[in-house]
Amino acid sequence: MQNNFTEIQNFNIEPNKQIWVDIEKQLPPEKKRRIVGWWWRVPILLSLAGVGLYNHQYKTQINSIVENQNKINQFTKNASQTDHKKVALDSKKNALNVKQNIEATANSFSQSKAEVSLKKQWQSQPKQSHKKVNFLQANTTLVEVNKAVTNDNNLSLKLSKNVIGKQVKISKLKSNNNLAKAEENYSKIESKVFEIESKEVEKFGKKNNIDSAKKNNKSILNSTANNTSIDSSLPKIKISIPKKISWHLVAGFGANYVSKNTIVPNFSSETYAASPQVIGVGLSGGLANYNNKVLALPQTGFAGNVGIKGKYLISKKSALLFGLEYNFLQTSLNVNPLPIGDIFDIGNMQSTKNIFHLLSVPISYMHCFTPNKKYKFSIFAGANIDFAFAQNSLFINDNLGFYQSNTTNKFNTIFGALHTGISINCNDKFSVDILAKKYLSAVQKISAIYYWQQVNVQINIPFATFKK
Amino acid sequence: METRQLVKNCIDNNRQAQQQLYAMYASNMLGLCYRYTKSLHDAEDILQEGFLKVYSKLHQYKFEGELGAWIRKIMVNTALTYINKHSKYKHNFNINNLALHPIETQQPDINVNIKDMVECIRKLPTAQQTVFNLVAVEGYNHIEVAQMLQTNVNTIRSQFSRGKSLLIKIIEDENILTNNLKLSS
Repeated sequence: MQNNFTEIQNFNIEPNKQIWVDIEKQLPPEKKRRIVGWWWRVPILLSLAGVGLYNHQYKTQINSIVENQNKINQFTKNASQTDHKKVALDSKKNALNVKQNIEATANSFSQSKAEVSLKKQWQSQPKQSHKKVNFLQANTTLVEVNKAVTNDNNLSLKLSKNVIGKQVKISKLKSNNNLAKAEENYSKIESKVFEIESKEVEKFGKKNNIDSAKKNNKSILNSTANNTSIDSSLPKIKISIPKKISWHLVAGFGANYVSKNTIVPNFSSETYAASPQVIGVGLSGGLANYNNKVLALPQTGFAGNVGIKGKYLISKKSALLFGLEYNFLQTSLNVNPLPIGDIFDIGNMQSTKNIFHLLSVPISYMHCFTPNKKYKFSIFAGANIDFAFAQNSLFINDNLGFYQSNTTNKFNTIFGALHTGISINCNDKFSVDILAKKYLSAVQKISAIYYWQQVNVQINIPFATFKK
Repeated sequence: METRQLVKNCIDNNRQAQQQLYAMYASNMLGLCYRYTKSLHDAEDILQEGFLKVYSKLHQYKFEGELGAWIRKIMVNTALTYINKHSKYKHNFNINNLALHPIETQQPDINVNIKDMVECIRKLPTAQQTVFNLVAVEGYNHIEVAQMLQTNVNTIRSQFSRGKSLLIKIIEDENILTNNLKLSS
């Protein structure tokens, strides 16, 4: 008997649609997934790519610096050794010349006079001159190497301040070391040359020897002078440290429009559940409807902003932007003011305006692609927190009555937004931004739900700059 | 959507999935609730309460049996709780007060339309209606039903036997015999 009765399990009764509505009412509210359009991922990806690129470049720079520093060390070492040898050879040459002169004319002057004279000359001139020559040559070498590095991918200019400071410090240390070594070497050379000279003078002791020595020493002095002039003619490397913080006046205007139009309020979830296809969530073009009759038709409006903006240069290519702005948003809506139950007629619509006044705090990251050009092209992306301190907007209550309201508690006062855009800086005089902004917070707390989107053109004029 | 995914979405409070689950089982479960009650309105109340329980306890479903059977169990328990709680059913649901014994009768083979049979079951006194539904329709044995209703097995046997006899009498009185359902002893 039981087996037969189990067929009764298949007995079905189609439930009233109201039951689901009642169930849905008692279910915990569904978390609304805020779907950020795919195009908002673009600036995020660009920002991440920018940061990645910056890190890569920074590492490359560090490697280049190390490599170049090794080159500098090697080059300086070789140059220093070459200089020492050259000077020593020159000195030997001079000494040999002196010897030849002495041999050719040799006879008359007393040994002591010649000795004293030569000593004076060598003590007064070559020591300082040689030291100077060596120092200048060492510096010249560094400058040449730095110049080569600069020309090669302009690396020196890409260095951050700390890295540059480190390099300069290292270069100075190298110079000091070279100077000390040069001094030591030259004192040895000097003493050696002086020894040769003394011996020669001692041997021949002629007056002409002194003239010849004078002549030779003069040529050394001239050579020193020539070296000095070479140094002064060398190109100087300017290392410009970026300006750290600059303040800008910002003013802009643009279009504001409603992106997600569900002005059909959630006043009646049961009605929606019963026949979701009837209410709909807004037709294409942002047309909201109820029972296929138009409720409200949002239009584009005006958006304006004015404020100040700080630009903190992290490096030559990247900057952090932050500011405080006043935003004015106005959206026009065509509204059918008839209450529910009456016929909604699209031809009978009246126009109204939603106006919001907001204080906005934007923060964004900017990446510059052409930092050394006159016109600097950058992209930026970031977020805002906006506070609405006054508004007068269309409001739709739970009974579908439309009215204009400035009651604060009907609307959200804190809005989150994302923004992205491009910026063209004209020789640091001013910059022009094209900015797209999307609000993530709905305009109204209940009933009508819609989100703003903006496209703005704004001009930034720097008025104060602080260097670190 | 696959059952596993559907359940997961329901647990995640996805309204669309919850609605889909409801659409899949609501009509059958309302039929079940209807058999345990005296009015459609009460059956709808049980259905609503039952589905809320289903959604809240869905995370306990281990995919070991058919989802429909699991929901059915919850609905039966909800129906029992409901008729135990409401006075109009409690008045008749006095199994413990009855000293009943099974009635041994020779029952003829009868054929009844399912819908008519359900209506006839609903005409039984609440206690017999409940026991008959649990034993004959849901397929629980007497011991299980005794545990569910917190009474002894003999009482269940008596109620079932009496209910069955009364049901045959109602069917005969109503003159609704057809060839659709064969009722044999």
